[in-house]
Amino acid sequence: MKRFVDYSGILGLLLLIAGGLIYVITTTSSWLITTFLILGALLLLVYIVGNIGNIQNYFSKRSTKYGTNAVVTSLIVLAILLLVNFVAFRHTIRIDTTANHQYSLSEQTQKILKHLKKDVHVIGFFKSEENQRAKDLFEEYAHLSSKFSYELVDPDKRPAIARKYGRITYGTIIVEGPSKVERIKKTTEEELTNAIIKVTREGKKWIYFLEGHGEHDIDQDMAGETGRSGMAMAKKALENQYYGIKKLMLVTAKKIPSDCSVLVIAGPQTDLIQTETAAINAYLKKGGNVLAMIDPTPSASLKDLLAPWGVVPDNDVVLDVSGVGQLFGAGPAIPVINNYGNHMITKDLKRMITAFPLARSLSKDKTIEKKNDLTIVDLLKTGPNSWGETDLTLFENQKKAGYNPGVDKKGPLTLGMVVTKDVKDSTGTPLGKKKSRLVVYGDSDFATNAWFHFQKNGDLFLNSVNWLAEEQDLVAIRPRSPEDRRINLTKAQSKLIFWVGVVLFPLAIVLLGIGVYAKRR
Amino acid sequence: MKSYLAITDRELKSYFVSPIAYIVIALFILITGIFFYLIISNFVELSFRYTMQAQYYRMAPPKLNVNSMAIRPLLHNISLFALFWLPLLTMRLIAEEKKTGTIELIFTSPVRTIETVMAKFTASTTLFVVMLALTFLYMVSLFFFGNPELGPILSGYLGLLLIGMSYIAFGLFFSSITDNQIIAAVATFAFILFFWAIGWMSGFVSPGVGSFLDKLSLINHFDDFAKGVIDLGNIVYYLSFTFFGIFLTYISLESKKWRL
Repeated sequence: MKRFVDYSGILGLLLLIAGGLIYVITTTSSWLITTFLILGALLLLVYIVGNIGNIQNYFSKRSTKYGTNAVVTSLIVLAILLLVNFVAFRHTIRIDTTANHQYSLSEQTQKILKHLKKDVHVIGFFKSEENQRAKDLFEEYAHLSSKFSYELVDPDKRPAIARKYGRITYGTIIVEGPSKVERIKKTTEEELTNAIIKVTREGKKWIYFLEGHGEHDIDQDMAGETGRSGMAMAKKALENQYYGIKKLMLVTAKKIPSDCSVLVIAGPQTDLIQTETAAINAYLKKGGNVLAMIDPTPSASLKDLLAPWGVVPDNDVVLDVSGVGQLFGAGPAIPVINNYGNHMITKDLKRMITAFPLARSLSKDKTIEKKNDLTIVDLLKTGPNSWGETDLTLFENQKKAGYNPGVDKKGPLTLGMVVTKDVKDSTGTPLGKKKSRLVVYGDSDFATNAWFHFQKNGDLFLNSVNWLAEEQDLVAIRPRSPEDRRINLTKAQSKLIFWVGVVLFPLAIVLLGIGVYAKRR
Repeated sequence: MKSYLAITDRELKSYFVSPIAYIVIALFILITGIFFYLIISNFVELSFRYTMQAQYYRMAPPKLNVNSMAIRPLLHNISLFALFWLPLLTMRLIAEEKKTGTIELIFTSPVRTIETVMAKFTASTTLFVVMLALTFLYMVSLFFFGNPELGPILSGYLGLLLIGMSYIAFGLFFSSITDNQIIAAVATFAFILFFWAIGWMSGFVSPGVGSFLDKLSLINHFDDFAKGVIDLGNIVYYLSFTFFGIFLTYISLESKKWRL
């Protein structure tokens, strides 16, 4: 029994240390750790009770008294210092001494971070030796909010983490909110703050897909007979961005649901009935967001729906004989686009290509644009070697296609348009920043399973939905780059610095020392 | 107070009448000077190359900042040199007195222990300030050849002073617990290096423990100073570190009194 009591002290200590170590290593609390800690504490207690006499003896010694006193005082002082530091870090004051306040964040960012209620975690993928700028930026954010945390990962050294987030390149920054993930490519305050706004925004956004006119089926995946024209890939990509997807049978629903962020009309075969068109127009006028993708005849043109928004679908099929498409295995009926308009949707697509199998061109109605106070931007432009073939019997009769001046529309043609309009109340005053937004593409196939992963097609579709789903405008922050402050040295000056700074200066100090020493002797 | 000044004076004299201080300072200056020369030459060459490149490709000339690209890394280097040098300056402070037995005089004299401790700390810190002041001349020379910003340089030197004081305080402590100067120096060096590197472990433990280790690390608080941001939390950290080192020295000397 006596032996057990003696050993229990050591065993108890070992168990406590092991429990603590396991916790530090695995970073999760488990029953094993709990058992270790409880068992260790119990054994230690047994030891103390069993050796109470010895312990009392030890503590009554004079040296122990002073010694323990010193240890206890030191621990108390240490605890106080830790507390002071904790308070100082929580309520710190930072003074940026750089002239253009390079390491200070803008007022907008400060406000957003101050009201940050949810945890935001940022992962920056940089080469270890090139992460200084990102670190400086993240560090300032972390100082302003305890909800903000970050880590810097070298994708070469820790590929497992990089793979978790799909395609990662140097400079990619992942911003993770409670239910959304945003990725940015530029290490600027503007991008980061806007990403934080996006990932912390309340509520799920719902995307409605119109049904009932032979639109592409969003549940149809590649398997099955109509797999290639299904849109399950697009749906999956949207769900990955935490959008909710619903189908909408407008004929029975009568109006667009109030939680609809974006209404997608994906290649209807038959035209909408008049009440449907009216419902969609009413939704748009109130500041709704609609993505309309239409195909050439015999598919529906949605002419009536688009007319008040200044978009006129041409009755043609776009053909492109420039041969660019052939490089990617696309024929003349699949125009390839690498010329994009100046817009948020296409700003990341510069020098990238997208393809549109069997597309219809779009025209702008300038009188309507003026009359209804619209802003219309051309998104996609085909090359100069393309035209809009109006002879639609062409394909049935195996006739040779060719450009007929006067009949066919000469390229470059527009395949996509963005229409925006400020929402105004009955008296004509704008309602804040609310806007009606409409994106029209003269093709719907580019977003189907068969074409979704072709070059940047998927990105174009996602960018369009993302832009439409944006309710509030994001903040604009002027970047603060370091000032240009250089040193100009001629060869002679550089030599001067070397001889004076590196040779003469230390030598003078050594001589001074020898002098002092010699004088004293 | 009077005895505090007297001991400070005596300690400083003991530094400066022997050639040791001069050689230590000269070597510190020499190493700093070499790094200064290399970093600045590199920066000058880099800015020349970038400008040529920009002209060749007809781009806007790049913005090159001597403060963030040259002075900031140089300040980090100096903080590292101090880590190597200061334990050598503090190792003899008390250990020597214990070896020669003069420590008995301190214990039996009416001078309060805290005065002795503070005097020795002040003397070493003064020597360190002299070292820093001499390296500051390098920074001053830059103003003749360009337009660096003064603010970040000053904040960097404030950081150097604070981190140096932390080194000195614990150098003093380790000198007080042994009569062997080598052990005092090595122990100080190991201890500071441990607290320097403790932040590197943060990636391998749970996030909570990790951020605590990050905050505990000596060097992690320095970067703000080096880039030009003066943060109250960092100042409090270094002063706490320094205070605790001095406090432990005091405790260790006091406890020796009754062990005699």
